[in-house]
Amino acid sequence: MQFTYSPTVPAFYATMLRIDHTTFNLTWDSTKGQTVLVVQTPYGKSPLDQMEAICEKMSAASLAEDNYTEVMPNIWVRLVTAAQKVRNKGCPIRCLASSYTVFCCETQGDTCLVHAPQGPRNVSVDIPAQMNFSVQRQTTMVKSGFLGLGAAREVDTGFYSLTFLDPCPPGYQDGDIFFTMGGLRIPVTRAMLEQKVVYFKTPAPPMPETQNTGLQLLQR
Amino acid sequence: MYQITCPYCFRTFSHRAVHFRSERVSTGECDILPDDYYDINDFQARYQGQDKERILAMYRDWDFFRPVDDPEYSKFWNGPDGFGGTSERDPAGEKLGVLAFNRRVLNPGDIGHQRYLRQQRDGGFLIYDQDGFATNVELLSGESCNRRVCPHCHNPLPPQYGKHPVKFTTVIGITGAGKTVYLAQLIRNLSNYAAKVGLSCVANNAAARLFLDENRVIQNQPLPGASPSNRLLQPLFYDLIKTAPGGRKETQTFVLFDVAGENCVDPDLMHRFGRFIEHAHGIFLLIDPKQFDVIRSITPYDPHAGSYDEPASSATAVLDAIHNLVAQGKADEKCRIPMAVCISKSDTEEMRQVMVPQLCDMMVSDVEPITDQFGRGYPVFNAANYSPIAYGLHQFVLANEPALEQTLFNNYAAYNYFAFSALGCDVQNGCPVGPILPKRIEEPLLWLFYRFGYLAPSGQLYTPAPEFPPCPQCGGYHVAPVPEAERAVTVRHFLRKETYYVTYQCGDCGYRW
Repeated sequence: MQFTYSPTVPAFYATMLRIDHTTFNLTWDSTKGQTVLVVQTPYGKSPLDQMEAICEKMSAASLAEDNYTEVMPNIWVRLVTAAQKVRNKGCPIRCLASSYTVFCCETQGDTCLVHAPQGPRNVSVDIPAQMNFSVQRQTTMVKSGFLGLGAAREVDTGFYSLTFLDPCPPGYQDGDIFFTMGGLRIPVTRAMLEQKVVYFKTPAPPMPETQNTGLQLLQR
Repeated sequence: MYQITCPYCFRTFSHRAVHFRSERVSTGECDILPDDYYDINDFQARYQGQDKERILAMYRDWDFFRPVDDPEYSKFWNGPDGFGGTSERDPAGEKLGVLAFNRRVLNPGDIGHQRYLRQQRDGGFLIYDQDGFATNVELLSGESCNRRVCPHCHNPLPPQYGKHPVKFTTVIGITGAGKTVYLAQLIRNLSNYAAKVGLSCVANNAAARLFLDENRVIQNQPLPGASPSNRLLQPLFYDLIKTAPGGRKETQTFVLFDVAGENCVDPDLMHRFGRFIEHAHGIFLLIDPKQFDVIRSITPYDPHAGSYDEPASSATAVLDAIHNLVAQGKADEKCRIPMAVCISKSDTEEMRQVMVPQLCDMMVSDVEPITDQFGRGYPVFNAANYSPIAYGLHQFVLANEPALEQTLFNNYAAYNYFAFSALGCDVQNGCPVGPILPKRIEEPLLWLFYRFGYLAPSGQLYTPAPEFPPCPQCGGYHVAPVPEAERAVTVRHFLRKETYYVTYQCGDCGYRW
């Protein structure tokens, strides 16, 4: 099927995109009976400027039935028919720390027209992800005195443990979270998140940072 | 048997005291007088024929039904306490050349009018329906007159008005809060909203249709302008019908009034409009988000926007004025009229910036009905769907407008917070630019239906103000909870003692239950 990005037509609208907090699915209002296109992009990014290119890629790609398909780097699309919307009570999100935009489609034979939204508002939703972590200084008890018969005392080992309290969010890219130590930028990889606990030998507590506006780091 | 409260002057009268507008109207020139005479005075002065009295009687009969300026009606609308002229529209009358309020008012109890009315079998002149409700009178010339009017102010009463219990509901908001658009959207879809809760809704008069014709909300077309603040718009009448347990049909009438908020803080205007608040059984208070400081602080300056800085335009000032009016000197009593505090335009970008994202999503979702196995709405208010929103809005107001919340808490016994969007789309240059999708506009109305007893709540309903039931002994409202330590009451009988528990105590009569 050929996909074409077409101008706004008042009769074909998809708007009020939001999260249903009971199902955690996307839901929206659209022209009755029409299929909609859900586009997932990196957090805070809008696909509106790239829709023509996205439609070209969709025309060439084999789109998964009832699932997301990556048509461009970090851009995923999913077609949702009216029946699927009712059955699934919306559309499940693919991953957190992303933005989603909805467009109304109109099928004319072998061509699917993807209509531009009628206003910038209410057609997109940004879904952040939260990552809780804790940092603890690692110490050990060392016995003092002759032959270790004195009282034990706590001694700093020079290590810090960083524990990631939440599972790795889907779609996490290596380097979304990083540390800055000694002028070096050290990325946190997916493997480190899955391991949960990482030890650092450093004089100061390691504090993770992120430049992904969709990822919120919260220290516990 | 049937007592009617006029929805204009609020005087109460029996259904038998109602007056009627005549269907017979004398128009054009009178052709009863012979051609030689200029007018009735000339005829009386010069005519000497023996049939003079007969001709005079015919002329008086013709003249009685001539269109007149109704003094009672004019006094209500144009008098010193009037509203700057009537807002009643009569499209049919405009085509016929005789407006409804210019037709002669017939009083079946007036001997002078009875000579024109056909006497009924019971000796009276009123015609009753099968329920014994006075509906019309009949002229000797055969016309059936069923346009009922109040006997005091001569304002029109819709058909069947007064037959069923009536609840008055007043919508208040400052100019620009969105009252007109809200009302237009609400009444356009009222049948569907009522069906969600198992009610049928029928408009009782043409006012709703005329209101919609004059206040169209259409995509890409200018929104209706603000109604003049010192004018009284025609009330909107609806009959709500439901099937009670047992299959019995129950009908209630509810009336909507539109009152500008400025009319509530100006003493002169309050004198005229106050009656629509005093007699209300429920009040909608519409607040534009821009009345909140937190919203104003992030909104770019717009030189064309109205000012929200003056005290007169604050919701708190309106609430104080309403309480003072309703309390009527009893400053230590809370106003018992349920107050739906509604934040309009809840889907704007500024609201999304200051509200919790989850709350924003809930505010733009649809009100979920509770249905039976056939898909018909149950007559219940979906508290589970509403309570999280009420809680979120309450927290927002507590954090950002504590004075508003405190005013409500101290002065009102029953209130709750609502948020809706009457358009559900952007507005540019005064025109809605997207598909018009009202969100949650029916929720405050359904809450008032619950307060009126039309609906039961499903589940625990969040309320910002604790509510206590009235005293079952004296009916007083000075009720407080009994302290925990005193709730167990032990009563000694002859050979035994009995312990029971009380929860409330009445401050008026001391009764505990």
